[in-house]
Amino acid sequence: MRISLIQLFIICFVTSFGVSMASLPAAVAKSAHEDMWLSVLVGGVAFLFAVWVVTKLSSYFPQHSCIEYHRILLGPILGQGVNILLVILILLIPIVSVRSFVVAAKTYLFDITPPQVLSAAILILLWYAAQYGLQPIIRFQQLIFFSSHMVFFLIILMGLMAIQQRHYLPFLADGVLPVLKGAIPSWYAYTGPEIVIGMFYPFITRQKETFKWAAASVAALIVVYTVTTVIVQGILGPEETAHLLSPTIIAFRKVVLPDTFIERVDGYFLIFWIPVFIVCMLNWVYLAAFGIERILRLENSRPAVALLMPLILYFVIVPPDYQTASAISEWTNKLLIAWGAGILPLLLCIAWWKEKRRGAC
Amino acid sequence: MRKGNIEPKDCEEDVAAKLKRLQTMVSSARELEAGIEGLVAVLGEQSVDSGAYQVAPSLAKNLTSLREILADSYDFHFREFIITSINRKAAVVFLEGMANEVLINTHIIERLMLQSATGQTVYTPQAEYESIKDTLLTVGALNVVNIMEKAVKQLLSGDTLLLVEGVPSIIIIESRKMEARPISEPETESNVRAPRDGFVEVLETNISLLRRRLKSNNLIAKRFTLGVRSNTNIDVVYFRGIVNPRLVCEVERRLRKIKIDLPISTGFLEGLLEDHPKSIFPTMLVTERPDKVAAALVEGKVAILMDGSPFVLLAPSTFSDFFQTSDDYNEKWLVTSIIRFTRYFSALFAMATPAVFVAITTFHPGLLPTPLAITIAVARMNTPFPAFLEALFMIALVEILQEAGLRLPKTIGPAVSIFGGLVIGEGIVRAELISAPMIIVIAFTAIASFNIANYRINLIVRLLRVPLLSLGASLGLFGVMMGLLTLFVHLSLLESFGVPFLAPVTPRNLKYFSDLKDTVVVAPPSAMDERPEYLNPEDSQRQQN
Repeated sequence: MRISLIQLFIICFVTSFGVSMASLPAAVAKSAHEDMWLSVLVGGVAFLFAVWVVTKLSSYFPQHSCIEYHRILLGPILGQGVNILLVILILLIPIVSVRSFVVAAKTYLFDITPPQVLSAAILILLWYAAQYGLQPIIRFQQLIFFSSHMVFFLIILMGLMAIQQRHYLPFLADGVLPVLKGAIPSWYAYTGPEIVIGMFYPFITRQKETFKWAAASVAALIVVYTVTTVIVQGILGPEETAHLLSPTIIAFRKVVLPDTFIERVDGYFLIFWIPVFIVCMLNWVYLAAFGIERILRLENSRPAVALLMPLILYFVIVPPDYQTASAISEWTNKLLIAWGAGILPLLLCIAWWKEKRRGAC
Repeated sequence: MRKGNIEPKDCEEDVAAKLKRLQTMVSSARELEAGIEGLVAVLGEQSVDSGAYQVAPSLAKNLTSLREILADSYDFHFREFIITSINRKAAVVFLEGMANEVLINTHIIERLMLQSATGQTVYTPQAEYESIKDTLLTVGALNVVNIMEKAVKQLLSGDTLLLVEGVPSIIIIESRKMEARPISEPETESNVRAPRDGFVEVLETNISLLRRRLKSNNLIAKRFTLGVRSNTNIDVVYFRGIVNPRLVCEVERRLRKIKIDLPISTGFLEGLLEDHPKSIFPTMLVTERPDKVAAALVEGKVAILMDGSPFVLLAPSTFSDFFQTSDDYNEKWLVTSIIRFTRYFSALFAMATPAVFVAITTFHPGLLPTPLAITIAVARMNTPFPAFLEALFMIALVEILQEAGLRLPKTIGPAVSIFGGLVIGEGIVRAELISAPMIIVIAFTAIASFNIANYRINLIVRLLRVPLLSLGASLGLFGVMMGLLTLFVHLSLLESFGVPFLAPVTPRNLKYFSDLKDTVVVAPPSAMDERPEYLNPEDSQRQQN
C-alpha cells in the first residue's frame, strides 16, 4: 500500500472538503460579520500549524502510524486510551456530517422521504467502498476529484454573478479580534489532513515532501473556502448569513441564469454535492476503521467497517432535534481544536524531548 | 366334462397360451441380450490412456497399439508398405481431413516405395533409419520421438507418423492441412480506415498475421496445451524487451493452473484467467483484429491466442481500452479526440438518461427550465402510467427489438426495424400509452448505446440501465447519484493482472500523467513517445527520436 504525493494532496483535500462548506459561512459570520471571509482565511493559515506539527511528529516515527507511536510516546495504557479517544473523535465527524447532510438533502430535495432511508443508503455505499482497503479508496477519490469536484467548483464560481459589493463593507470595522474569534469555528472545516498524515505517514512514498504537499492541499482548501464565503457573503450579507442553518445552499438558490437552459443553480449544486460528500465521508469512515484495525491488530479493516456502520447509523438517528445535533457538532469542533492545537503539539514536545535524550545518550 | 376326456378345443387354447408365454419369454430374452451387448460395448469403450503404451521395435505391435488407442475410428488411416531401398516393412498413420494427403503420397509413400537402393552400403539398422530421414524423405519438417503419447498427440494435430520395422522410434512428419475459413474482415469490430484482415480459427495463421506486422526476433510465442481431453493449443505472445517479465510469469502461472476437459472458447478461458470472474465488467480485452493485438504487444501487453477461436485475449486491460478503436489512430488527433470523448459520454447517457429523466419528472421538476417543464407536463398529462413504468416498458421493447434484430437472418432484419420503429412506436404514441418525451429519451438512449465501441461494454450499459432506473424512481437524483457512485466504487476495486482497471484515469504520480495521452483524448502520433507507465514496461520509450 503506497501513497504518492499527488494522492496525498487529493486525500487531504477530499477529507476536509465535504460538509462544512454548507454551514461554515454561518459559523464565522456570527463573530466576524463583514470580515467573515478574512476569518476563513486566517483559520486556514492557522491550521497549517497543525499540519506542520503532525508531519514533524510523524517524521520521528517514519514506519509507524499515529496509533503505534502514541503507545511509544505515552506508554501502552495511556497511549491506547488516546488512540480510543482519537477513533471516537474521528467517528463523531461522519455522525455529525451525515446528519447535517441528510437534513439538508431532505429539506431541499426530498420532502417525504424519511431521513433514515437517506442515511442508510449513504452508509450502505460507504460500507461497500470501505471494505477493500485504501488503494481502491484512493482511486475512487482521484476519479471523483477530477470529475465531480471540478464541476462543483465551477458551480460555486457561478455564484459570483449574484454578489453585491455592499455586503463586504465596512472592512475591519471592529478590529482584528472578531476576525480571530471567527477563525476558531472554521477549524472544523479544515480538519482532516492532520489525521490523514498521522494515520498514513508510513505509506507515503517520499515522506520528506509530505508537509509541502499537505500544505498545498490546505492552501487549496483556503482558496475554495474563502471564495465560497465571499460568494455567500456577497449574496446574502453577513446578518442574514449568521442566522441561517445552511447559508451556502440558500445563497445558491438566489443564483439565477435567466434566458439560459439552466435557470437555477441550486439543484445542480445539491446534486454535485452528493459525490463530494460521499468521498469525504468515505475517508473518515476508513480512518476510523483503520484506527480500530491498528488498535486491535486485525488482519484487515473489514470487520471494523462492518461493525461501524450500524453504530454510525444509530447515532445519526438518535439526536431528537436540531439543537442536540448542533451541540454535538460544536463539541466535536472543540475536541478537534484541542487535538490539533493542544494534544498534537504536546506529543511533538514529548517526541522531541525523547529524541534529544536518546541523542545525548 | 368327464375326467380323461380332453376336448380338442381345450388343447388348442392351452397351446395358444403356452405359445404366448414362450413369445413373451423370447422377447424378454432378446431385450436382455441387447442390454448386455450395449453394456459390454460401453465397458469396452472406456477411455484409453496413450501414455500406457510403449513404442516397440516391432511394426505389428506398434500398429496394434495405435489401433487400440484410436479405437478404430474411421478417419484414422493405416497404410502399410515396404521401403524398397532397405527392404523393410513400414507404415504411415494419418488423420483424414487434417493431414495433407498429397504430401503423404508424393513425399513419403512414393519416395519410400519407388526409390531403389542408392548403392551406398549401410551396415546397421540405425544407419538405415538415418538414411531414410536424410536421403529419402523430401519433407520440410520432421522429428523423431520414442514416446507413444507424444506421437499420438502429434497425430491428432494433423501430423503423419512413419513407423519402420525394427526401429523403436516413430518419425513424425509435419503434414497439417486443414480446411479453414479464409482471412476476412472482422465482423465484431468494423472500422473505416483500419486494416480489414481479422483472425481466423487456425492458430498458426493467426501467429503469422502477427509476425507479418512485427518482423522481430523478440516477438515470442510460447505454446501451452490446455484441456485434458482436447489438448487445445494456446499461444502466449509477448514482445521480449518491452513486456514486464512479471506479467508474463503471471499469465503463464494462471494458464498452468487451469485443469479442464476442454476450453470451449476464449470467453470460457477468460473466465478462468481474469481477476474478478464475478464482476460484470471484463478485465481482459477480446479482439479479432491483428493490428490491435500488434499495437498492444508493442505497448507491453501479453496476447493469448487459442486454436479454434478467432478471438484473442489481451492482458492486462483497463477501462479506457474498451473505448478505443483502430480508427482512432487513422484520423487527425483532434477529430478522434472529440469522437472518443463522445464515446465516454455516450456510455454515461446510455446508462443514466432514462433514470435521470424519471427522477427529474417525478421528484425534481424544478430543476428543469420552466418552458421545458411545462412541455413535458403537458405531453405526459394523458398517459395512464407513471414515468417509471413507461421507461421500463420502452427499455424492454428496445431490448427485445435489438435481440430480435441480432438473431434474425439478415433478409428479415430490416423488417424488424420497420415493424418495431414505425408500427409499434407510432402506435404507442398515437394511443397515448407512452408520452412523446419518453420515446425521445429512450430513442436517444438506444442511439447513444450504439456509439459504444465495445460490444461487451454495450451489454453492460444496457444491463445497468434498469437498476439505475429503479434508484431514480425511488430516490430521485440522489438515488441515481448513489447508483453511479456505487458503479465507480466497483470500477475502483477492479484490477487486471495487478494493474488497476482505472489506471490511466487515476495516475499515481506526475510520471503517470503521460498515460492520459491515449485515454480520454488521442494525442498526435509525434507526442505518443512513451509506453503506458501503468504497464511498467522494460523499455518505456516508444519512439527513438
